[in-house]
Amino acid sequence: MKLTIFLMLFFTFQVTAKSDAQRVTIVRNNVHLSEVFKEIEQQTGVHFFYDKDLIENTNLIDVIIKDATLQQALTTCLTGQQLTYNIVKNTVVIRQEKRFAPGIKFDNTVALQPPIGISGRVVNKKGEPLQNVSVLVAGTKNGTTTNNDGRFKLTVTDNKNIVLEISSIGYLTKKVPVGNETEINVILEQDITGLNDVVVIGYGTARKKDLTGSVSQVKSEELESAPVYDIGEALKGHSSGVQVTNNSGAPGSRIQVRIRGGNSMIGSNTPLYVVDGFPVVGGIDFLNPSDIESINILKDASATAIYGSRGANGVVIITSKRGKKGQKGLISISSYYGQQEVAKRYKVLDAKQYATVANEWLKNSNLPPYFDVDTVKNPGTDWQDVIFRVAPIQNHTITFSGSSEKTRYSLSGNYYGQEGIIINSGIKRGSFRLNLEHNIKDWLTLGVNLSVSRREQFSVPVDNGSRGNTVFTGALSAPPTASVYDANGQINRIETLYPFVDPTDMRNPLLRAKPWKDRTFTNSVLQNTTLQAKIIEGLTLKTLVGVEYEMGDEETFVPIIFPNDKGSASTSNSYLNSFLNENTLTYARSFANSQNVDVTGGFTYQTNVNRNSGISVSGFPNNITQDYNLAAATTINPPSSGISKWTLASWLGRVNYSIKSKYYLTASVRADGSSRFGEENKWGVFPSGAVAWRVSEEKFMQNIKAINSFKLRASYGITGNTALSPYQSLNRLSAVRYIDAGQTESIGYAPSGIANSKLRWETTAQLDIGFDLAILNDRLGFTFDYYRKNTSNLLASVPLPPSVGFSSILQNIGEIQNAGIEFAVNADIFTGAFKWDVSGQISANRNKVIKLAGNKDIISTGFISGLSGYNIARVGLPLGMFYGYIEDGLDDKGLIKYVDINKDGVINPLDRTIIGDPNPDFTFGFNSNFSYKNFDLNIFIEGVQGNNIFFQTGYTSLNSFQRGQNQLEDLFGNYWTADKPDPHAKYPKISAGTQMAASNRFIQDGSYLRVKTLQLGYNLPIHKMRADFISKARIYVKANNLFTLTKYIGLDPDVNTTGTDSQDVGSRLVIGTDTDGYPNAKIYAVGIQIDF
Amino acid sequence: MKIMKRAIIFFLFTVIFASCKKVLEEVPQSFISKTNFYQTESDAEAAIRGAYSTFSTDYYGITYYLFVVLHSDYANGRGSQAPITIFDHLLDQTNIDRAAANWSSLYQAINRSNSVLDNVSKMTNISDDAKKRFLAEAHFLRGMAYFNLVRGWGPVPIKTKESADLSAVAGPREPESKVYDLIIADALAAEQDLPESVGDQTGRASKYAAKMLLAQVYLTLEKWNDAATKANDVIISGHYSLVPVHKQQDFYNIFATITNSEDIMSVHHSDTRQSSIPSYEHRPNTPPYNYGSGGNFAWLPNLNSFIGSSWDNNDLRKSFNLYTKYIGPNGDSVSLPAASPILFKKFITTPQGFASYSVPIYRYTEAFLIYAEASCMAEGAPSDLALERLNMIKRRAYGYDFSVASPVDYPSGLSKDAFRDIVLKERGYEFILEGRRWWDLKRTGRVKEAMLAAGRGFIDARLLWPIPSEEINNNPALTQADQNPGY
Repeated sequence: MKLTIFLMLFFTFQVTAKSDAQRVTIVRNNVHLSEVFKEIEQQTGVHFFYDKDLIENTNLIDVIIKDATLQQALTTCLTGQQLTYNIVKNTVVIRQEKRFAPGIKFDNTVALQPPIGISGRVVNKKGEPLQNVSVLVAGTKNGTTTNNDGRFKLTVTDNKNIVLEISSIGYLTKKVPVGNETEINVILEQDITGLNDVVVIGYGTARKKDLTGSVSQVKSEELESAPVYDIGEALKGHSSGVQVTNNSGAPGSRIQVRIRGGNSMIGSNTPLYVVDGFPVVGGIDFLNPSDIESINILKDASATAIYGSRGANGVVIITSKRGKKGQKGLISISSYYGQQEVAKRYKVLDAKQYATVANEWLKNSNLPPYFDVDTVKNPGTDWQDVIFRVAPIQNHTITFSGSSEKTRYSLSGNYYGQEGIIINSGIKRGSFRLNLEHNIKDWLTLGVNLSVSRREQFSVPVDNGSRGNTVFTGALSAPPTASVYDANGQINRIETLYPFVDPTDMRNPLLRAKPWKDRTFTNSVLQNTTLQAKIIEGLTLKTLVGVEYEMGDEETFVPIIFPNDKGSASTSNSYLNSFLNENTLTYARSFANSQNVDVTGGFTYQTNVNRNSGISVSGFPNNITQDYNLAAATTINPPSSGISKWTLASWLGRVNYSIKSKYYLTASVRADGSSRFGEENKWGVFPSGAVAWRVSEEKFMQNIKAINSFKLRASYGITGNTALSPYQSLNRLSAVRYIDAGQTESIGYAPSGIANSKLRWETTAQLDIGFDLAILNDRLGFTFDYYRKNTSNLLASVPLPPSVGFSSILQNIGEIQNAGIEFAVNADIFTGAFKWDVSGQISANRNKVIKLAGNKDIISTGFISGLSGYNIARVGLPLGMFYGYIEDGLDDKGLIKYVDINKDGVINPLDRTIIGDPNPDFTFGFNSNFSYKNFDLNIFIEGVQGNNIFFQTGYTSLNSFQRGQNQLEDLFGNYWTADKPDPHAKYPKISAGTQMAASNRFIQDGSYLRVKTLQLGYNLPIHKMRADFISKARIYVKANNLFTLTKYIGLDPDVNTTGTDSQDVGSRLVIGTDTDGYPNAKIYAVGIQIDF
Repeated sequence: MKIMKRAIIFFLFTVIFASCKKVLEEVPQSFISKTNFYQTESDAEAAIRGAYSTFSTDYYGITYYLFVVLHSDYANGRGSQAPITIFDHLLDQTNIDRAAANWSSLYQAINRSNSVLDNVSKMTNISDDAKKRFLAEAHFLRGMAYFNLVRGWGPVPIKTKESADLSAVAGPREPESKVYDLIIADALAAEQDLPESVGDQTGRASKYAAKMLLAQVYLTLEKWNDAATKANDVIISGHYSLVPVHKQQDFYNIFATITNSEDIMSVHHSDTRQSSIPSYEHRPNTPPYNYGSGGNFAWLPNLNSFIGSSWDNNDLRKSFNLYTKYIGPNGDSVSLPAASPILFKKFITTPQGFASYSVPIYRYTEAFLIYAEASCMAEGAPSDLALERLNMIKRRAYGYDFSVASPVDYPSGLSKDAFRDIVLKERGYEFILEGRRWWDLKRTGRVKEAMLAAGRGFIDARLLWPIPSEEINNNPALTQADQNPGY
């Protein structure tokens, strides 16, 4: 008896609030309590624990309980019975109500005291209430959470000796001794180290302090400062180990994201993007950056191996904003509007300079001068004025979010509009997102994420042009002596004006103004539905069914402008549909002596279908119907269409094991079966393992007050890269055309390659060693990682002797290594009224080619007429080194001389050597936030150091007037002349005979430091303004690409105009080139954020 | 119980994955796999068309065409093609790459022909006639490709099986005689089984196309009797006749038509599969020769050669092949700019800007000229028939009735050498821009002489084209020592 009571009392104080979700309905008359308890047991799954004697003689009762919580039900049926209850886990303990138990003697050692109610409020430093904060009696399971107003209530037996542990995600946990207080007010400080932040990892979540792998997190606040179209661009400089390069400043252009360097030569090097659990197949530019809650970047193998054959390039997990538990309904409006202008222009020859150079050209060809320089009017036409413009950019998002007892929701709508700073270019996006979560049963939760977006992009050819074939090079090469329009007001045919101009080489850039058109429409839908079921305590089954859908439509129209123009148009459609099903089972359990186990296992299945079709026509009678009536053209080219499908079926498993939050072990494995792999290699297995040691939890560290947290990590694992396009392993015959008779084409079939049934994934083995350190009251945090990745079985297009009838075969041959270090620091420098926090990161990656097919160099494809490729893949060197001639001044004819590297007396391709390195020594980013009272200031700086850029723009615009096009101003006065033959003149003879090869002439230092964004905000004092219906209002001004420190002579050192995902190694190898890239804009914007 | 219930409800939502092995199998849909091809006669016909399609446009594509055309004494290349016609220098890298591309095109034709020979020969569900014809066509195409290879590069690797796996990557350079043996065997096999007439299907080979190939091969090998016999077979076949010419524009009845009575075989074009020769001949917008806005005028006449002042103005081929004026925007006649005062105009665009005529592979006139040369060489002196056949071609070129003696007839009684000189010169005029000159100069050993006469230097290393570095690097049977001299 005594024992029973003792046990009951013991349990009494371990109340948990867990069972409040179970509902009870009982309507019975004249029942005994024991029957009611049985009924409750059946309905809720709890067990009752009581002394039989205690209820034996209770009165029969009438019970009317409808949809009540367990507590409500128990209170109802125990009322008047002099009994009370406690809930301990799944057990309800029934005992006598103490005050009315005169007949029972108590052992003196168990001195009972009346329970004490403690209440209080939790706020942040600004005094704003914090919701959902966990308030726990330290060392017990007695706890609760705060309500919307930050308030909590708790019942304890002894307030003298207890300590409340108050914790919330993103805040430092606080321990408050209660003493004699019953009202406790707590201010929580933000946790800049974020050790307790929940980080979304593959197929699960983890607290940051429990991570064994290398995962970096970028939060929405950091993403919001840059006005970007593609969320990938916002990652630039914010995470160590992540290098983001713009291909071009054109609105909506490709953003290249590389995590810890590129592993593959012809397969994709883009990380796997997982949006709300869905590994997306298409891009991520359908996402509205304002919808993003957080981005977690999984870098090492321990974190990525769970994605198996798609993990080798790193995984970017994107989580969108959703309604939070207990959050009141909220309407948020976020808008900005800005102006963009070109940050820098080229200085080109003015009219007199152009005329002078043209005459020099003619003189060197023994022809009479064309211009009388004295009569040429300066400055002449500024052709860059013709194509550049000041263009608006705007973004507006409205979000509705909130929660009810069982439901959390978030709904947003967005419009993004950006016109290009070059005529006839721009992009618009409208998007819509709904995130919904609902508890169907207390054990079953339904979640729906739906994102719908529509994009419309107008492009003009700019990047990688030469001479007149793009708008930009057209403007750079057009003679300043020519007018934009001719005497009749028509577009001037500048290519016909001068005898020294090759008519094929020059075009008026206005030809690409409207109605010239290249428009792309894309509609995307990403939808997934999850059902999450708690089967028993600790065991959760989650199933996800999702669909990604993307429909694209591109149309082009080339108008008739001059006589004999034919006009042409095309339209093409593409369709992508990916289906995903994932089923995972997670079991988490804590054992005695503080061991935690978390096991995840599952099966996933994903398919993808791509379809495309297109048609192009030419020969229109007029421009009226543009591309809207293709039947109005005289020539209909053969239509094209295609389909490509793949399937990926996978098993996955992971175990996390930890002891005392001190020692951690993670092991994961994934088996991927991919249809893309060859018949002999359908399945691949990708294991990983990691250990972590939180040294700071050890006793010997407890005395070192300065160190708050110190964790060592090490991991090793194997990941893969699918790399292959579908069907590559098969024996294929392609349709070809031939005309037997007349002009009627007929179809033939020809073998398109030699099959390789052994084709498989590329394998990356990665080692990572790192530490996380927080010191000085968590005000200073460091993260360091060293990694080494070896990618073998590199997919390569291995050259064949052409006599076999094919030029190459795909094989898994070759090896690449990436090794590097990453260092990140964050600091709360001032935390008072004047607040200043900074974060910075620096990363260095070293890439090396270990093995190539046949150990032979691969040289990139030249893509401008007359200039051969200049990037090389060579064993022992980083991928894509610049390769070419070294110049040796000018000869007596004023032509360029090259160094005879191999000293064989002739200058030929064997005299090429390494002339530069496109890979940076390191990249860095630095973010600083100041705030004082209502003002806040954010500065974000990023840059790269130590890379070279191949300034190919110089080949067409600084080529000694070879073809009569205008040149950059630097030419003037710096070229060789017969009158003053200077062998060290910067530029060779002005003549058509002057040739330039890929040489050190074009190698430029690409290092830069850029003030990427600068933002000044002001929080309106709403309370003073008595606008209490508004909870937050902030206005800000921001500037993007404000200022750049660089020696680079091109417009923008943050450039790689040839970035491509093509599977052609020659194109892929072209790295670090600037060929008349669309310049980045400088943006000034004002914005507002209001929450109602 | 509760757990079971939850689990059951839950699994109702779960998509049950049927763990069938087939799920990872790839089923191609937008192309054909070899396993489901070569079933029916139409598959076989599609396969032979696949082999023909290596003719691409203009005969193995424009790269091959321009390479052979510019290997001559009468044309100068411009721009990147200029180094081809600088014969006292080795080819530069751009043109070494062009030579490599041509090598690849020819071996692609060989592999596709081999593919037909290997696979169609095994087919059973096909009529004997069809099978015979397709196999004969494959032999013809293979023989023609090897003929072009051996003339361009000398000894070359011989491939007679389809490259279906990596077992036969190695292949040494085989002696020219062995290559010629294969060419003759292929051409004879083709001659035997190809149809007598292909009607207007001149995109495909007939018996007489095979005879033309044989005649050229024998002429090259100086098997004069055989060459004369094959040429004579073509002349007297009754399937072809010379197109009459009275004024220079009448030549467009040969060179701006889809087919005509002297078309033995040609590469056909359509609006969407156009010849690009005009854009290499002309400047942009130079009607009535080029209405297109594209035009590189990469081939410039070399007037120091036999097409210069020594060319008789009464030869209608002169005014047909060269021009100095075009119709300007205002309808007046405008001189070509000083940089390119004279251009070729054999192939032109239509007012719609299209070039969809057929480009000749074999023309009837060549049979006449081969006969004249071969029979003269065989007999030691021109026979009356040889002289008559030569004169027929000349008469037509001057606008005369080709069957009646004319004032421009060559006299009888010419020596063997003098007659041969005349035939070669006549071939020069007749086949301007048709890719005959280089082979004529090479087989007669007159390259250097002709180049010097045309005001150019010449180095012997230019006689053979460079073997592609891809071939030397990746063919285990070859080393750098196997490269042709100079490269």
